[in-house]
Amino acid sequence: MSLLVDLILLSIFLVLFSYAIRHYRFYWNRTFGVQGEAFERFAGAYTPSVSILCPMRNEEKVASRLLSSLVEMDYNKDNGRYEVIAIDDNSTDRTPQIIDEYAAKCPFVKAIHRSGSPILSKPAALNAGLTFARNKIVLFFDADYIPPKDCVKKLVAPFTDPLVAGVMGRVVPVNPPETMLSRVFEIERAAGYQIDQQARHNLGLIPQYGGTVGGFRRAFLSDHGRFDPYHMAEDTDVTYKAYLSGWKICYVNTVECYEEAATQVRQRGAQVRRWTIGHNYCMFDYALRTITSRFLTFWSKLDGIMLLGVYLQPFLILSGWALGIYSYLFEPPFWSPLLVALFLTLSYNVVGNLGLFSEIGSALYLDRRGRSIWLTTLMLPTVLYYVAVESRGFIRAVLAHLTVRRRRRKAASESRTTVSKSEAT
Amino acid sequence: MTTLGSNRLCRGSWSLRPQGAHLALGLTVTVATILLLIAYVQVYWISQAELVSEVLRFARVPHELFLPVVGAKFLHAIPPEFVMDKAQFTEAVSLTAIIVLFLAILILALLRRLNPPFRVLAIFLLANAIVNLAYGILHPEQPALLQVDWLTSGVVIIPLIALMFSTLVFPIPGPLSTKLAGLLGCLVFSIVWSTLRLSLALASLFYLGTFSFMFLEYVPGAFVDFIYILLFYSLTMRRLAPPADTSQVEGTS
Repeated sequence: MSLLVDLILLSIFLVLFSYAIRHYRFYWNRTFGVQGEAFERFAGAYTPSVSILCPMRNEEKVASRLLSSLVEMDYNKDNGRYEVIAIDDNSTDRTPQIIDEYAAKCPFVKAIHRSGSPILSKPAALNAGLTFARNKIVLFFDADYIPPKDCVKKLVAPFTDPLVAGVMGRVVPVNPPETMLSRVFEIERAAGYQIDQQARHNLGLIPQYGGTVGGFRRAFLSDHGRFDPYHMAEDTDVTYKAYLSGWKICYVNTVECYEEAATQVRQRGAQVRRWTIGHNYCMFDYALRTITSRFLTFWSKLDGIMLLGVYLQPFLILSGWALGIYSYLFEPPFWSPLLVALFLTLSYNVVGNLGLFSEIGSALYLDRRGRSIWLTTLMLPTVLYYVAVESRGFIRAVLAHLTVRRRRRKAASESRTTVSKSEAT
Repeated sequence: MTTLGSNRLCRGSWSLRPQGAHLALGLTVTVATILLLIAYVQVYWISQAELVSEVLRFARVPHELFLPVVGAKFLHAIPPEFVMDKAQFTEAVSLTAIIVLFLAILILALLRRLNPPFRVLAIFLLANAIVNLAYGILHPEQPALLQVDWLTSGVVIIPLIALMFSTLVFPIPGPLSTKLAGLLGCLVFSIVWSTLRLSLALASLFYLGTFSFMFLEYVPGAFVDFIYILLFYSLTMRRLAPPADTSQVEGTS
């Protein structure tokens, strides 16, 4: 029993230590390395036709701000080359009226209303919007975002590379000084984009499409199926669909789009729980296919696997604690304390976590926001909170994958068989 | 006719030019620290143990300190040992149970008023207390664990701090004096903390029994090490970071 516990603890240590090395690699690459192509010189020179999809449910407070920004966007709007598709997703407030007002004022704004829909989800709303999209490139913006005027022309520039299926811009929270918590959440964002995404772009690994402030070629979305309406991380899902079929996603760190950061812990907790469940669904769906993919290099596969396992880490940390406590309580062999010490210093606390926090420090340094670096110390309670929330999310994802998702897939495959049989008849 | 623009240098595209000389110096300091520790770990342990013994005497904790002979072979250092008469330990399982119960009531009463991150922290502390209580019941006394502490966190953390600072802080553009001050501050704090932690653990073993000793032994280990390292790291980085309104950027694209 004790040997088994130690083997598990050793495996956890190795996995978490690999993540620590990954953090240091990204930190070093982004902070001191040569930065990847941002395609900025093509911005404004290459202007393909663009459809912008904005799903909204009860967004009366922010809908007009987003639509105004998109209406005033600096982009060639002649001959239907630029269209904004505002999707009212079963709203019960004034969102539908706001959308209709803009559609009446601007010929390139289309209003779509979904009401009484059986599936209430962002991917389902996006699928409805995609039915009406006519242009070559489809971009997505959530309602609480504020795109600057040059955002679209910079976002479409990477599509000059024929291998690029999708792009992703940088999300920058706009309300950091509001509360201490929003400032803490905001600096997490800084590290995620300024360091993690950019380093993955620099190293030719797997930059991720983040669900908003980005988009895809419409041809790619038509060829590879639409968004899974039940998925909670349709962004990660579509990212892997792209990489596993030979395409790539381009991260453009110079395209900044502003969002309102969560100001309450509960709000943030719900967001993180949703991401955890969705991301783990992707892990179950794509881990094996990533390893066996013929389109990915060894390092891309490794990064792909580690990216899929990002939301598994908190569960591993909790398990490491539990096993450490077990070793502590029941007289273990002499090597057990050494394993616990390795887990605590190299993979989890001292070295492992400092890798993550150094990304935050470097992101703030590069952003010229040195005064906020001391806030990293305040992130410790939130890290513990995320460990709890994400571990719970992981368990829920496993249970849902084994029950609800399996049933849903079975039903979907049965309905496909029935359709093909009736077509044959 | 549309012409191609150029890649503008902005916060999304610039990177830093590493200060190679500072990095080399930092790595040299790390190697020197490791070599010094290997050569003089026993001297370090003895000095620290004497300090701990002084603190314990001040706290009126009866103990005996056994010091090894200085000059043990390379890599074969023997840590000093504190011996406390078992009869003097407070047999504190019942006291421990009362402390855990009190802690549980306090935390549960405050739980709803706490913000979720602090709620998780409170549950974490309570769980630790319960684990320590269970340990106290399962293994009433285990002072041998003190040796593990001597060998791991107290000493290993010193080269780790030097390595962290030399790779994460030293290559960042900025004055060397700030970086050295950050590193030195962190090392001094680490040594002081490690001495205090040992003194506290031993004093709690005498006055409060196994539970408190284990609590101070296990909880503040790597976790507290991480907190002060992060604090020194972030304060040093804050001093190194240029002001927000800097228009001239020293960097490469």
